[in-house]
Amino acid sequence: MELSLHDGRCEGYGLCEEAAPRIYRLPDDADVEILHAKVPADLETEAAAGARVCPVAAIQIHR
Amino acid sequence: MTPPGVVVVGGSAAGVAAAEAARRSGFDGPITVIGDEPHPPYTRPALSKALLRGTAGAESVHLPAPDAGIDFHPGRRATGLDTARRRVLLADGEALGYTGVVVATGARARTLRRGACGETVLRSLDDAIRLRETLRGARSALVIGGGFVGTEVASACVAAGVPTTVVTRHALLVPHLGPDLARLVTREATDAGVVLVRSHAEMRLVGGERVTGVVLPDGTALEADVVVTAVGCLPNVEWLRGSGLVHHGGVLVDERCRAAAGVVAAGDVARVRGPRPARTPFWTAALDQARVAGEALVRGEAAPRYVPAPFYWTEAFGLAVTIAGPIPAAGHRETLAGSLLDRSGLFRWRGPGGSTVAAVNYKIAVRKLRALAREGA
Repeated sequence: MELSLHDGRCEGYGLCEEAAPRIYRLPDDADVEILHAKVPADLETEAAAGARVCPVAAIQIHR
Repeated sequence: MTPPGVVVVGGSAAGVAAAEAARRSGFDGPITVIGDEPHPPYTRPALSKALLRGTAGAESVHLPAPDAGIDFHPGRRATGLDTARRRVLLADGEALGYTGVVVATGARARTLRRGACGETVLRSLDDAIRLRETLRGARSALVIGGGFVGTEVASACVAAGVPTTVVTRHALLVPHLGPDLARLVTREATDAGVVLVRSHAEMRLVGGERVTGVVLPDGTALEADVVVTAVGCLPNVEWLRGSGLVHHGGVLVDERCRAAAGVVAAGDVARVRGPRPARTPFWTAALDQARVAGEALVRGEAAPRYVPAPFYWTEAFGLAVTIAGPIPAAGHRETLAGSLLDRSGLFRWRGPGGSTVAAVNYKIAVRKLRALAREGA
């Protein structure tokens, strides 16, 4: 599984970070950082849950 | 024919999240999600914001597709639940057997007329696309309701250059945000040219196949090219008639979102037991409930309880507001950064139900917003 951001969509809510802190990190003054663009197998479900909770659908999952 | 497994009724964000939670909790049988809308899961809160304003296209609201191990069927509607024989009955005549079922059929827009005859509402992706089209070329708009959806729709109308009137019981968002933030939103709305008409009682809609205006109890008649009804939502429970699961207009569930043996519910359709059982038709509540429901279906008592963690946001008239904690924000206001007058900052209220923190045009992660609310408790 790989993750990417849709350009310009992140609005910095940080719900992804709350749901999946090992995958997403939201700095104060920037868009979310994806800590593992290529997601380790044991973190895939967490990564998907974090992507699904984004209210602006900013996170893309590539399988 | 596949053996019975988990059937999720409802193909929105909550339905899919519940399905993935069931899988994550160790359920290795078939999982089927059915939804009556023709679309893959999408984010509903975005409909009344970027999509309606036209700054984003329809594809921008689509959420990641469900995991490959989940059988997703859009465009299929459930018409009944037979809990004795553990079957979900579908409009197309098929019956899906289940070992466990997730009720995630959500809610629909409440309307003022029976059957919504001629009324325009904003609830689904199709509603939003249609309304966006209608606003192009409209010379006037009338929005009935000053809640989150009504306020955001009015903002989109103004952004589209359409002169807009809002008929509302209170000033905009008073029961939702509390007086301080509501005053700010209302001021920005009127500065943007919105005409607010206050009406406390039921009004009468005018027009047949298409509503063209309203008559207020005092006889005032208001007309517009576009009339949008935004007066809340009603849970989709009619298909559960006879199941014994519906209480006071919602599916009553325990703190693990369980409604009955083999039945869980999550999202806008669910009422969680507690001192004041109520539906909480908001994004994070729906997704949190979905995760609990999916896990409880598989692990029962071993699943964690649902703990409400209120988080809300709205965008209207140049204001982006995010809120952690109980709403409406009430009590003494403390300014943590910026100023309300400058329409930017961080604010905290200590109310009877706990501490509420709001960020106005101020970027802050939900994690930090919640921490500020806890500090203020």
